[in-house]
Amino acid sequence: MTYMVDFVQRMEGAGEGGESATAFRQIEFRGDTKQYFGIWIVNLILTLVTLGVWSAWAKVRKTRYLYGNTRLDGHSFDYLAKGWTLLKGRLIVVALIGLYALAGLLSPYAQIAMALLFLPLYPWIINRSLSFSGRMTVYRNIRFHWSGTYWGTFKVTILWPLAAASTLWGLLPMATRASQLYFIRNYSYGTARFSAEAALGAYYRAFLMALMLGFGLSMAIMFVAVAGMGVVAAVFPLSGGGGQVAAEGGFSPTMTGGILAGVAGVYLVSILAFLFVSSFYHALTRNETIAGAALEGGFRFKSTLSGFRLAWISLSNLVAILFTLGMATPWATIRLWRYLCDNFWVAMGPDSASFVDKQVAAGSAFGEEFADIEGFEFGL
Amino acid sequence: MSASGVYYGASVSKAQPARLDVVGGCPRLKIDDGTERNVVIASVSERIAGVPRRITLDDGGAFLAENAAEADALLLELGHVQGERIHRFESVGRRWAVVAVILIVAAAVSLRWVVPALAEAAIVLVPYPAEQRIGYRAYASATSLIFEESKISEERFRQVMNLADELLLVGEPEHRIQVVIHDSPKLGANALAFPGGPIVLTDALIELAPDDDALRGVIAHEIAHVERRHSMKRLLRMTGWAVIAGAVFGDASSLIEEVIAVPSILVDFAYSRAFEAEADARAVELMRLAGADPEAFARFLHLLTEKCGEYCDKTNWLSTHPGTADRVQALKLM
Repeated sequence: MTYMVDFVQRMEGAGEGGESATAFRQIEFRGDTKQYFGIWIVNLILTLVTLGVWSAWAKVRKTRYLYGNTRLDGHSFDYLAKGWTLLKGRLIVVALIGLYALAGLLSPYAQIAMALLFLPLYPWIINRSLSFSGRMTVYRNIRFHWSGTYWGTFKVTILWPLAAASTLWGLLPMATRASQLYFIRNYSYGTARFSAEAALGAYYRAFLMALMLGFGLSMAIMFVAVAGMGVVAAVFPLSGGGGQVAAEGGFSPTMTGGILAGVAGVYLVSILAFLFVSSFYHALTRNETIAGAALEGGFRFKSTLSGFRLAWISLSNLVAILFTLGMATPWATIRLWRYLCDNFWVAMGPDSASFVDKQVAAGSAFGEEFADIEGFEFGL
Repeated sequence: MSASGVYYGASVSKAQPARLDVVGGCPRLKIDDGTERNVVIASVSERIAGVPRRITLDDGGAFLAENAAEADALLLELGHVQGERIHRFESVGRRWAVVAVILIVAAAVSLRWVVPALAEAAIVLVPYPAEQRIGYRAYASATSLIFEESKISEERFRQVMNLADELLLVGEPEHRIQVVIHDSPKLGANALAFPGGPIVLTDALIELAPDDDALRGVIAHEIAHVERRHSMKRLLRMTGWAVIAGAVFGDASSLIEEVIAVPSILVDFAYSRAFEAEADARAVELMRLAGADPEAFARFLHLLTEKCGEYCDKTNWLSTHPGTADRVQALKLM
């Protein structure tokens, strides 16, 4: 308590702090796995018992735990969403998916038509989702506000990915940069706007490093796979002997099983490798974007993620969760969150006590509240 | 009772150390700079470990209590008792966590029986025409990939179709089931049943069959699959597992859904063995009704699996059909 009072007083006495006021402060996470395990288990049991309905409240509790135990400069964050709001949004999404599936039952053409109909909705849904999660996030009684436009979001969520894909990912670094900058520039903390600048070169560097990592991994995997298959073939020779009347290439049940195992194995390993490489790329690009971000009032940011460490955490988390049938999930969540917090730094501006929040008009003309949809996001 | 914490005026970030007291049954805010006033509480956040309790006032300001116990006592005095129950469950000690883990594992194991049971129950909700459409669509896409036009003689073609029609009549199925013959180098000597039909026989199978009764056995087996709606049930089961896996693993990690798909499919293979046994039993029934010899079927199975050597005789977790020795044994008992 006194610790907090000290900080508050120092903030009030702006300008006298000098050095200490502009040094980068680390974000502090005070939660631990043991506490979160209790929350996670209760969430899980209630979600299963209510056939998924409770998942909305579960998400709120989880997010509040993570945000509430995350502190910057002695003050914690919070998440103010209510379960009912999340549930309403989710039901809307379920209804849309249901319509899409029903269309599929009629004919593949109906389904395509439905997909085209829904496509224009997508950027709108994302905007609503980002706006909602921003408004529900609060730090020192000030909320975050999303100001992205329909076309801005359309470009970033549909056009840029298309462009990247159609150039064999050659444009991916540009797309990543565009998307991350758009994300930061359209958030504001109360009435104070965030800004971001970043040079394209760093993103291409990150991309090339990720490609090299991916290439190296593929070589290693292929080597292991070929060696492995050789071992398997030596130990389990398939008798292809004579006396077969059936056409060649006929599948026996066990051979099918063996081949299926092989395919499953390759699929699994590819996913893991992809996860590793994309986490690596994500860490590097995130560092770059955050370094160029700023908040009106003299606030600057820094991210010190290590590509390899983040990739390793993502990978080992996934493997641990699988091998423990999900029991390791709380540990994995805390581990990742803590790593992200430990590597996020904020240089405080001279006066963090003078922020003012936007007044959200009650009963806005477009009925904002009814369509609060969460879960559709992109960003850092 | 009094709680210490920080007060924020509406829409400002200035944090003022303050205390919240109960004076005459009403909450009273005492800011450290000396000002104090009665306030009205608009809402209270639920208690979650480590998160400062947020008391929102009706003027838009907020009081964040630093000490959870103090906040609880204060709220209790004011009559606010909600928001506590769930936290109490969440914060039980280590012993409870162990019990919880055991319960979860038991639940996971029970899924082995619960999900198939749910699929059996849910099948009633799937109208047969919908199933037929699914099956036909799957057949249509398979045709372009692995089926080619049949190359057996017209006479033999008609013979086999007559065999099939005979079995279909004898079984008195509720719906019409289509039987088709294709050449399939990729599948070899095989027979497939799509949900709601059609049943596909490959040229190689027809050539390999030593006698008509053997062929009747295979066709009867596939008819049983369609009658009993096995493929559709498998689809429902896999969906069930996917949904539950989604709930459990949820947003635990990136790409977890894709990874979960693999073991979900593998787990399903175990259940297929039960379906195969069921289909065998029904096949024998149909054969007897049609006046055919079930032994011929058992002999044919044995012949079919000679290609894969000793491995087919052992049931392994990757095979969708129980080992031939098991099936032949089971057939002998019928």
